Amino acid sequence: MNYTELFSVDNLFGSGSDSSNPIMWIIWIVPIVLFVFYGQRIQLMVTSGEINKAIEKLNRYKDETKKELLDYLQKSKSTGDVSKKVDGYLEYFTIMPVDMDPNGIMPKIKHLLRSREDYTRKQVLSLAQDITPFEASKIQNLLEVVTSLNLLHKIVRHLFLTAKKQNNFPLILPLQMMLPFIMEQAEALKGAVSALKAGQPIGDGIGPMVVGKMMLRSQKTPIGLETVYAESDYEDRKLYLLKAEGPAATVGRPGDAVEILVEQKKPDLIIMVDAGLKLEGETSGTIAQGFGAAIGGIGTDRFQIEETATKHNIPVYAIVIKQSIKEAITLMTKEIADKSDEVEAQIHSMITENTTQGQSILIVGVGNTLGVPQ
Amino acid sequence: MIFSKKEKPLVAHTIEKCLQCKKENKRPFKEGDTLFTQGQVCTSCKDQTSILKIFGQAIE
Repeated sequence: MNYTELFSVDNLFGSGSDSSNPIMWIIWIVPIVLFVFYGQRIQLMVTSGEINKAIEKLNRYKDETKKELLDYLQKSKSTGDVSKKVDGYLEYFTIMPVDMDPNGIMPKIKHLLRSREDYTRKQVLSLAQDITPFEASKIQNLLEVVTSLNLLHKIVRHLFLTAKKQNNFPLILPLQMMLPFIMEQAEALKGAVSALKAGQPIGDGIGPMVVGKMMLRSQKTPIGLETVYAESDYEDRKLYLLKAEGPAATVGRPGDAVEILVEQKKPDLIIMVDAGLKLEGETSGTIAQGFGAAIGGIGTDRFQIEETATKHNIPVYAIVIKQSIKEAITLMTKEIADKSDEVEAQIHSMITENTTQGQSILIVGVGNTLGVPQ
Repeated sequence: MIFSKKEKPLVAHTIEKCLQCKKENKRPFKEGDTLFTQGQVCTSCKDQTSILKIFGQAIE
């Protein structure tokens, strides 16, 4: 048999004169039959391989960040078997309130989250001896990073194993689609560890950085947990500057602080400065102005600020510095840090355009104030 | 992945600004550097500097 002729391009695509070659029939028929009956399984195998690799990566991230946390605790003179305590903490869960009747759910969520925060704070203090509040806040943030990575790993693994167990290909598709976003978040969390340990400002700290700079020469007064405010003047207007108390790794309690300050000082305008997630294609460090309470989180602080502003009929303006999720929780990039002066200039022009002499303005720097004092 | 490009690691830098001559100096970040606190002595006028910015820049 002439094999050169058998596998020639002409024969393969049927343009040759002889169309009755049985080997050519098999070459075409077998893959068709294979893909018709086993196509989904083949795709499942390929997809499973990709997801498996991602699960391994998530597991590695979780283990590495946990090791870094334990090493950091060792350096901070840890007490007892911290590894066991940390393992126990990773399994803590929060049961959100029933939302079938959503009326009055916000105070319940707030209470639940505060209880969790207070408990975590106490747990952190029991992990190491004589640690400063600054060190405790860093450990608390590191613990949150490890917990988040642990949760991501467990959820992805659960969805994958369920789909595999039931041989259910459609169940694996949403996971495959979500995986790049999950991995982006996981990589951001892993990248946050070095900045947290070194006490360096993160991208989310741009709001506190701008407001902290404006507070530098003023007397600072504590208002709410881990939150401070200062009074200043600008073109015959009174400024109330509010931010979380730096350089600790905390976001403070802006909701409570705004409520107290509005009740006491009755400002005519509220300006909120925060980091905002950019859309794909947008440039990092772009500044955007808008309306409404610029504050992330689960929504309790935003709810409180919106309620207070509405009750006292105070307009709320927002300035947002765009960045990716990774930039928001890792070391602040040059592009973002370089925008601080421009943001301050925009705050000043917003004040002069929207208020008159003698009026007062509350300026809130929202975000994690790690490495940013005032 | 086909479209993913390897990200370069960020190296932390500190920018100090002289309170007298306003000259800015960029140097690698040192542990203990905190924004708005005292920096090193100014290289040109020997006056005190203040830490203006701390940021990460990718290594080229």
